[in-house]
Amino acid sequence: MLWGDHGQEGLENAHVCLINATATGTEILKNLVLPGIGAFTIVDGHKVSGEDVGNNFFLTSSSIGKNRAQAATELLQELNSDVSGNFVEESPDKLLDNDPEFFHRFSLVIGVQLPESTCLRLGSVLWDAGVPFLVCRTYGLIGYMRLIVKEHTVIESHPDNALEDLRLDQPFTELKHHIESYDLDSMEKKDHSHTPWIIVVAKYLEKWYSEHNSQLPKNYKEKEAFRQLIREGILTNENGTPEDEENFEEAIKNVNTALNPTKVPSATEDIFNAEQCENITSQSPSFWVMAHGVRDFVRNEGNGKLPVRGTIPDMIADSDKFIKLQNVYRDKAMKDAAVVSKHVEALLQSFGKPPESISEQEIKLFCKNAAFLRVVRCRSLAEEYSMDTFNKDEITSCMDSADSEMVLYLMLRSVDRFYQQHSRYPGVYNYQVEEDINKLKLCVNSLLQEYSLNVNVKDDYIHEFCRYGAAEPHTVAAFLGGSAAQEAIKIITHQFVPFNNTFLYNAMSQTSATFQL
Amino acid sequence: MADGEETMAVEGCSIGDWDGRWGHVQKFLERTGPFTHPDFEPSEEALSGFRHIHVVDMDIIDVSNLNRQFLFRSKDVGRPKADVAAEFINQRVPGCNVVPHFKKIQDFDASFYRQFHIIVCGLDSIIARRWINGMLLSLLSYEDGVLDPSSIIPLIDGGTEGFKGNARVILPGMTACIDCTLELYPPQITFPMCTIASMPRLPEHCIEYVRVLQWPKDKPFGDAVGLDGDNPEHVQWVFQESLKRAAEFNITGVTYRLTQGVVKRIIPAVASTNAVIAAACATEVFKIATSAYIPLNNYLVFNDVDGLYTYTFEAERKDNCTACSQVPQKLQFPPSAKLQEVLEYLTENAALQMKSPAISTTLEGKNKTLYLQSIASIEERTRPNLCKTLKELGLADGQELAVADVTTPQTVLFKLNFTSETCSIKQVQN
Repeated sequence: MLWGDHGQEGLENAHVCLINATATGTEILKNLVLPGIGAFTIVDGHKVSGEDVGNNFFLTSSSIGKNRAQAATELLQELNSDVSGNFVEESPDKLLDNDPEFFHRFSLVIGVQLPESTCLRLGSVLWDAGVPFLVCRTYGLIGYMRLIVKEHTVIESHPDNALEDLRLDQPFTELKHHIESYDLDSMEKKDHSHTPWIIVVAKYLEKWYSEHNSQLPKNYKEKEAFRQLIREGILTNENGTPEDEENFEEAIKNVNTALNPTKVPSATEDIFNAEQCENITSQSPSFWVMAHGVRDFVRNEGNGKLPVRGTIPDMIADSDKFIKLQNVYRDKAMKDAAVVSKHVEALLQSFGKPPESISEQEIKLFCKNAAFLRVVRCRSLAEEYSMDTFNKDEITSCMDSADSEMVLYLMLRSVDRFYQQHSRYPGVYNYQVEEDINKLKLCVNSLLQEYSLNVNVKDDYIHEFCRYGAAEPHTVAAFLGGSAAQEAIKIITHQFVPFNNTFLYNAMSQTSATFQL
Repeated sequence: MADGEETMAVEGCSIGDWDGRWGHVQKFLERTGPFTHPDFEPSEEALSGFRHIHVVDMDIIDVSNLNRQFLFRSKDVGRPKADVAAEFINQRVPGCNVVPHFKKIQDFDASFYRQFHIIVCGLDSIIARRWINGMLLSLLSYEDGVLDPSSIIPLIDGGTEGFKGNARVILPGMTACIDCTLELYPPQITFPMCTIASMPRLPEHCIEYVRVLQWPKDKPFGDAVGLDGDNPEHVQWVFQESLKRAAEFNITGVTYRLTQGVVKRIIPAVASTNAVIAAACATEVFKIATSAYIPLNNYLVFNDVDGLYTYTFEAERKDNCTACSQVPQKLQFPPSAKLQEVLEYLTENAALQMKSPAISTTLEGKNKTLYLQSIASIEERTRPNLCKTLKELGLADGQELAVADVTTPQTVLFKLNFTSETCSIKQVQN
């Protein structure tokens, strides 16, 4: 699988709580049960209704009248016998009243179709307990997700288009020696054509340096000239026609990226400068201890550079040359990781912690991913809602475009207001629709006024949200089901990067947006 | 994987329904709204959901499917996917009648596909997509050059790979078809033979060597026994031999799992991405079937590696699309060009990407096969033609060549234009 054995282990040790086994909820759980989440607990005080069975694949008509948590658990459990399925026939509000610490045991709580008040209460409890909280709702053709987690660290972010770490601009000693062992001019064709492009670029870079005052090719013009220099190195036959040397073509193609100056990426710099990295205590999670260790390396042995990553891409070359070159990078990576280990050990010892508390393997993995480390901090719901800290700028600037997905967020906040006032959502019954449009408009206006938001919400959206009647169409629930489940897996495995922090999906236009609120 | 026909059968309240069954759907069908399709007419007639669905799938269930294919259980391993899916849904969703077909999509002809209102696919190859695309194009009828809208069967296509996916809506004859956007698909990565044969560098190269070169030579399980990725004994053999090969070249990293992945051409898949794309496709089916909203126009891309990213755009029709443009395709070669060059053009050109085209033409009033690869006896007989020039083969300027290929259910007609000897237009592969 895509998150490796260690990720799978994390998944199998996790216990997720789902509140409300509506279609959205069961679709999310389905995508966690199938890959083998350790355990789930559904909290739901509702009884199964006819409407529930109509849009929920994990409920049948025979369960109408039964507790929804129990009914859904049965059909979800059946998907994977390795998963432990549990249910609590209780509303989340009751649990918050009587036993809020109930929620502390979970790796993640997923709240689905929650009224605003419950959401805020639960948000506060989970924030204080440090339990990640994922809020999801399907409202008509709109999907909404909100992630709340104080600090989420990611070592293995698996970026899509990562740049290689080749150090051609500042070759380390072992690499320099290895490059020196090649003499392109004296090589026979077979060897010449199967020399790794990394060596080719390095060799021609030396030529370039001697003619350009040891300066790297900087702009397009210079890079073009450099490419031409390499091209002139392609062997020619008796007639002067260039031979087919794919490795040289690869070298030319890679000039653009191969000469990028080696430097610490800004995201990693931010991590080094974070307070948690600077002030290591005995409570510090291993992520920060290792970050501090790598930072020490960068400032000392690394001369401003991260530990060498140790991987090279595949390229045209004979096996021997490729393996030898690969080993030069691999060995250096191991050496650098060993130095980082020493720094980490020293740190741990300074708190009286055994050096084994962070394994060699962990440190190696951390070093390998040093350029891809990420920290995600999602604000609390309290901050999002508070008059003092809500993100006015983001909301206002997005609403410059009247059809921005931000209007969907404002509508969801407005229907919540409606619910507070009328104890129901707008337009649930046909006869309510017309009257509710005006009532909902009042809610929209009071929301905008309260937050001093000088934005325009088109009447069309108010009408549309009344039309929805708080329906939960299955296909929209299923879209969220896939989206939310993957975010949950990211939180649990600490691999790949979760969204930050509000996601809106519009099934009418099949568009989406992410806002940081 | 799945083709479907859906009808919103408007009958009286059906047997098997219960109170409130359609509560979540009703609002979209009974109420007017500001974003509905201009053709939408709200109706309060009884609903019945999608009742008539046909599923076509040539695969049987494998244990590796179970981590994401929620209709299958371990007891179903070995059974046809279409059968098990139909059984499960028919049992879970009362009133729904899924008809399974344990067959390839190519096993059916126009009369089969013509019966459907909508086709949805989750196919696992571009070839198959091009085939169904071609089939639906062949069903279009034109009157005085004008497309008859009732002959259009919408095609909704979804695909995923890891954390990436896409969903698209194709209205054959009206919007961009699969072939219009062939260049959107990244080239399938295969290893060059010389790397496999003599210059391995990665553990994958070693495994490919054993799979492609060593197995046919050693025949470890008997003369006519092909390598079966589902047979653990076969995979174990490949694994051991790959280790030996890797050791020869000081290559590390060959594992049993990697061996299996390479042998079975496994592309990693997760439940979540498939759920998202399937949901997006189903939403489009709903929109098209009910006219409740304007359908996706026409391509959605999804990626949740870093946060969640979607991009929606209108893929454009290609003016000279080989599949849907009805513009006669040209082949430009000098008369001294060999047939081999034409073959290479058909397979290597980015817009055509044929797999093993069979070329025939009419000479002296009779149909003549110039080259055909898929039947051994004919391949042998026509192979010498590859080295002959177009002139030698008796072809004239303006000659029509009929080309058949797995990528299309219909023969594609090409017109041969002779270029002058001095300027031969070399068809360059992108």
